[in-house]
Amino acid sequence: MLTTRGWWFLIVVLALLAIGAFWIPYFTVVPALLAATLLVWFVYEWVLFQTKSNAAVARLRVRRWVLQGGRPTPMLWAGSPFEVRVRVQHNGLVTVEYAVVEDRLPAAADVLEGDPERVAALRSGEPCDVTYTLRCPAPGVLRFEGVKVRVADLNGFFYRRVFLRDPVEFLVLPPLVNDEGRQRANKRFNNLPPPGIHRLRRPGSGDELLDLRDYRPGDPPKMIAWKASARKDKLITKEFENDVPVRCVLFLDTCDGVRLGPPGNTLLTRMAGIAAVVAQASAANRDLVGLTTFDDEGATRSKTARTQTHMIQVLRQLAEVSALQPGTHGVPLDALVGRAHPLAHELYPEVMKRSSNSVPLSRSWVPLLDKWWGWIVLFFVVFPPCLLAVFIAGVLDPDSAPLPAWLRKVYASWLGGTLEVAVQILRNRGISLYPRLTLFAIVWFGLLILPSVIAGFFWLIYGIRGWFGARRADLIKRKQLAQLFAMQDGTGPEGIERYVHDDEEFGKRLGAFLTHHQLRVPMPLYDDSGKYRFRCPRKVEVLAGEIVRAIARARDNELYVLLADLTELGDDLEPLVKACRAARARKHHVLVIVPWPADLPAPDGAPPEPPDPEKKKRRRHPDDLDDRARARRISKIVLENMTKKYQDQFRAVRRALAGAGATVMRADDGDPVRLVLDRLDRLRGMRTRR
Amino acid sequence: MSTDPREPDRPERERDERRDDPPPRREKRPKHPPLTQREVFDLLLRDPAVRPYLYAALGALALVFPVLFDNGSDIGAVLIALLGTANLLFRWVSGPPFLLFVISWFALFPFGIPEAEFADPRRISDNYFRVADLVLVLAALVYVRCAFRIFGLIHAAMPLENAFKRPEDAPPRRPAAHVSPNELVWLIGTAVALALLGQGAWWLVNNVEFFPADGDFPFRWADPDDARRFLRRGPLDHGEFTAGQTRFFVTTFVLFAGYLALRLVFGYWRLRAMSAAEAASVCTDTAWAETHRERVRLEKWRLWRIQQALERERAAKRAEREAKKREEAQAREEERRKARAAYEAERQRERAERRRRRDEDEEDEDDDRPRRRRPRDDDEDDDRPRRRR
Repeated sequence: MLTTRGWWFLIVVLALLAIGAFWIPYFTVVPALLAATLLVWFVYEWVLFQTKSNAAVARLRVRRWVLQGGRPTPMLWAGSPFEVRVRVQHNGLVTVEYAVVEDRLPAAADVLEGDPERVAALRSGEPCDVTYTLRCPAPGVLRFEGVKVRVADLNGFFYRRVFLRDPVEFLVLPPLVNDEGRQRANKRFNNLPPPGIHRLRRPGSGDELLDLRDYRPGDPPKMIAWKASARKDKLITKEFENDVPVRCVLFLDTCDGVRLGPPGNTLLTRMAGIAAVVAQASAANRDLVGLTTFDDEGATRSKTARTQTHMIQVLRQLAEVSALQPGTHGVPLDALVGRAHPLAHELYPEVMKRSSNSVPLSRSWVPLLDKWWGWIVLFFVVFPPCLLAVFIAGVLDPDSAPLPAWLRKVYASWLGGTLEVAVQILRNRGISLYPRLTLFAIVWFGLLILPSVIAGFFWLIYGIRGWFGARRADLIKRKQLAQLFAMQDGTGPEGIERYVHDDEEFGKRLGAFLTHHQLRVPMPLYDDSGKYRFRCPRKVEVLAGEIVRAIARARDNELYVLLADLTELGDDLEPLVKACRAARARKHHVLVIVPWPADLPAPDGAPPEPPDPEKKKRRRHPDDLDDRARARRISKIVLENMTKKYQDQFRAVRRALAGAGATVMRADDGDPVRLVLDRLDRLRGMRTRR
Repeated sequence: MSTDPREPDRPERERDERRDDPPPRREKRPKHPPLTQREVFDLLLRDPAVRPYLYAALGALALVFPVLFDNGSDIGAVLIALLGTANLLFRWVSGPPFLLFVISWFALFPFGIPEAEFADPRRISDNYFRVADLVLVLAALVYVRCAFRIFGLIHAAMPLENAFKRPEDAPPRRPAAHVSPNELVWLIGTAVALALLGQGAWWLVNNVEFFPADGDFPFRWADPDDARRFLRRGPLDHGEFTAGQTRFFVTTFVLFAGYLALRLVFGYWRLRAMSAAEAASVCTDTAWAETHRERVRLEKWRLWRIQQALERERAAKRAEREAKKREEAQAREEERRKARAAYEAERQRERAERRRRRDEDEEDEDDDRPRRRRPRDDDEDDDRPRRRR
């Protein structure tokens, strides 16, 4: 395509050719010669660029390698750097002298070394490699869309952009814990059993003596307590305690409320990080760990186990849920289109360009007949000419069918009225007879069809509004996106109009498109009535159901760790409180870790400093404040009130759950992982009674 | 502004106000920051890859100088040399096209001032492949090409991606290390060939006659001995055109035919090289364009139907709510009525009980013991005040 520079140059050369060849060639031939030569040069550059574009650019291929630890890997670890290598090459016969190859960076990844962009000459068979190092600070899913290649001629006249689509996703697993995470608690008991087990006072194959009983035929001889038998003069058999492992079940909240925030820095990501550390530390202690993720619609469970495969599976599940994005329900359609359209242009340029995704002017026409009063306008457009035709037919052929009497009367009065007006217009104009008669006929005819003309103009103005302004721009964007979605869904042209007309379907599809390409949209947090949109009250029932199910399947005393955002649900916690009571009644431990926003002060923190009594509080009249200062002050008051309310809600939740026997803590308060491990150790050392 | 002396000083107040300000937004730095003027000079004069282009452009300007000087246009020669140099040094991207107009101006008016010139009918035919013109055109072509390449190195080699320029946007420049050693050689070589081609094109346009009366082909070679070719106006035979008109038709035909031929060849090649996604998009778009009127109508009817169903559902829910309210109101009314009836029955029972006791007392006439008189509502002799029920 021609750039602006190219267009201007072409216009200048053609103007010079026009002047030099047709206006002044008999005065000087220099302009004509100059213009002809430059035009020949321009055509030469155009031919060269088109040849390279078709022969080389259209044949570009891309390959990608992602290496971590020096070798290609299908999964990555958060926090560890990894190298990305992209190779672009073509097998065409020409060389592209100037190309910019840029790998599109994924979201939530930081560039540590290298540059994802490179300027190169693309020669046939020679690869162009782009190498750089990235790091993902948080677990999730890393998606590479492809490579953008921009090609231009050396003069800047022609330019082409292609996107070599090569979508690939990599799971970014939570980081592996260090040795500190694997350490057990400080030794509190003198007889702490080995890791991975705790004592259960039932006969089994442990190491601790439980009881002595009389010998029964069939008992193995090595189980006979010889000394006791000698004392009692009868055979006595030893019974040992049973060693059972400690189970820890993690319940991770994945509803929309915890998915909000920038990629890699959401509440869900932080909770997933805590869950990953707890899972790994427990597994290192050979305790069994299970993971249940839930939201307000359902839950996904995995059984408790402690094998390496299970641990990797848990980390994979945590990585997948970390990449979840909030739903786009409730986001205005304009905001979604504003994000999706540039993204579609970037990733699918060949589908979104005007030549293959067009909106003709006729489609932008606003139809008048969609409105009920449009039919009245149509009546005025059609009826007067029809009546005039009937009148003329009646004059020419007296035998033709007459109009109804009332209509004849109305039309006769209309004819008479317009005739009189035409006569008045042309009276005393000083025009001779024949021209006056001609003018009279024209004026009278014009008056007769005047309602049609006016109605026609109205129709024209009404319809032509769709060709200009934001209406057309919005329709173009919507149609282009609709065509892209229809092609991806395989619905063909039917799907295009469906998406253009149906806002609900289009909104859902836009949300799916943005989620698929990991592009976040600013979310309105509050609805029109001021309520927080992401409370998700139904997740409490789902969580309570899962806890009850876990209790039903529990074999021994277990630890349930709930990583959930419950602060906004103070009034709806009753099912969860009941479930916690049931768990405590069965001697299980419940630990609730609530994520806390980083920008809010802790509810148990130090109270704010009292104002300096010497510093008098200044009072200003509201009229002295300008708008910005007033807005700042209002924002500060609102923020303080919201913070206080949030802290109060957290305290209420803590009170409610503590009453049920659960321990509640914030994710940023101390070391929640240490607390969980301490609780596991406590369970391990307890002598439980059933 | 308040004049209260108790208020703190203005700087402190501003400091306090600034504390409430949101943190300043970090400005995005452009990926390809534009070069400063010093860096441009440095690049032009010191970089071994860029310097040849500068020398070639200056050399071209130096070639233009004697040609114009020989033509009697000393002022024009100097002005063009200065303007051309300034274009390069100060990155005036629109300078080279403007320079073409300046060259043409001084070729037409050597002294720069428009003056009466006589039109020479033989000026065209006498100036084919003239060395001075060839040198001038070649020099101008080399200058323009070098200038645009230099602009690609110091200003912009590609357009911006966004339709509207944002503060952090800067067009990418071609790196100087990217310049290959034989680029300039190719540039000059092709410039010579293009200059000759341009001369040939001008010669062709002026030596072909447009004769539409000819049935086979409307163009034929002009007769070089025909003096009427040089006439700017008539008299001409029927079907013949003046030289200027002929030149116009031939030029238009050459441009149109050339455009058509190139468009056919490269358009077809482009179609052959089209990707599957683009081809699918074209087919989908074509199918949509042919059927969108009917589909619009169908979708409007479908949405109308959905809207109607929603309205009916809302109306049904509303009716259900109202029916429920009515039932509740009726139930409340029924309860109230029952309660009232029970209350009335209780009162009747109490009255009956009192009457019965009274009657029992009256019947026992043999009993002379003094009795406490129970007040009766209809006792007219009893004037004691009573508590109102």
